[in-house]
Amino acid sequence: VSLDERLDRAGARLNAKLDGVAIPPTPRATRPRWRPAVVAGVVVLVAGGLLLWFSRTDGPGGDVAERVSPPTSSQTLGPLPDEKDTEGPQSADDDEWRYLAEYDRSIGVESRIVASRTALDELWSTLDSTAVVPAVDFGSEIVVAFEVGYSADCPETRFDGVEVTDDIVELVVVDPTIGTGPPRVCQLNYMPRVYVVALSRGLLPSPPFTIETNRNGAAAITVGADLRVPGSDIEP
Amino acid sequence: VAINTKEVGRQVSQIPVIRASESFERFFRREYRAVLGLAIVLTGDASSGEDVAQDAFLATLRQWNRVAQMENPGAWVRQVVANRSVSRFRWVSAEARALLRLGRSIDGGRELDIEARLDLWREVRRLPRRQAQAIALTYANGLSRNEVAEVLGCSEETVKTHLDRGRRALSKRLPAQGGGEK
Repeated sequence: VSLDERLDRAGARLNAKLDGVAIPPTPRATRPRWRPAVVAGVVVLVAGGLLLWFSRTDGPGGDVAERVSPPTSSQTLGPLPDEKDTEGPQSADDDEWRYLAEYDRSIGVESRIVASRTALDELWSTLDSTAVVPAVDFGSEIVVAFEVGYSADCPETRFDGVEVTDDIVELVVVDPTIGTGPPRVCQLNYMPRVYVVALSRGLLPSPPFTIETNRNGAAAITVGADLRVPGSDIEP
Repeated sequence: VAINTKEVGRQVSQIPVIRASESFERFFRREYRAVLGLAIVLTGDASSGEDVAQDAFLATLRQWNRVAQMENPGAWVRQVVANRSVSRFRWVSAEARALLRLGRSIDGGRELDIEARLDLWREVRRLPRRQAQAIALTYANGLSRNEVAEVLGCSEETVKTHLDRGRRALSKRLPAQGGGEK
């Protein structure tokens, strides 16, 4: 029996059993009773706060208009399907990658690809000279350090894995809180965070290929070396 | 007054067509079982699958005005399920799933659990996320490559790549005969 047939049969059997499942009542949009009270409370608090603010700053030479001006731009995040809605802690590894470290600092938009112990020591001396350099088997792995941006109001991010499609290696970083609570406002400011991950060489496509991330941050870089070869380096 | 019928016809043809949207209730009743099946395959048990399916429909309901205007609202809810299911499979511990199951059970849940725990589906869940999603959408939901591409937001070629890689990995992992149907 071919794999296709087995999958077809498994799908058909599952659907036959699903036919017997009763459809539950249609979900209804609920509006909690406490919501109007909370909204009214928030309005009163905000109005009170503004009054207090004006009373303290509206004197000779005051700069009220400047100080209470709204943020220049913002976005509301909700559970959109194109966001990876993934609760949970940072995972340490997968079959094809290992999470090594993250730092709230910048290395610029140029990602670093590291394929030797010397280069790894050098990278760590710029990231955190006091930390122990993690063990990496460069025979079967390479290391990528890349930067992503997050909003200061919504700082949660998590490295979620690697997607390889044709000649693109995408480093996926998600906000693990998306869809877990009420919509919130994240100012469009950019705070840098660096992820350092080890990737299995077996995962990499043949050259040339591109390494990029799904978030704002590191620019896509093209790799011309065949890093699938055990122990090979980015430069000959 | 002379009426230029050709001109009127041209103008009428330029009026944007507003898609008549169906009710959420009808959409829910039509899609529920298939979406539940997809969630069960990707999460690995009936209760978690039911949770994910319900969450996805609630997310859909919250944005129904927008989703209903889409060409294929079914693709949208499947996308939510696909994203949430694999994450759930990875992150929710067995204990947490057991807690979720306490006190209630889906109608026919035991039989669906048996299906979801087949070696075949278990190995599908072990595949990289996109490969697992592509295979589940193709075989559990019976979607065409084009439809899978719409759900996953990628090209048909990419879907083909995911399916080929997924099948190759499954062929290596699964016993040659009948092991998947244990």
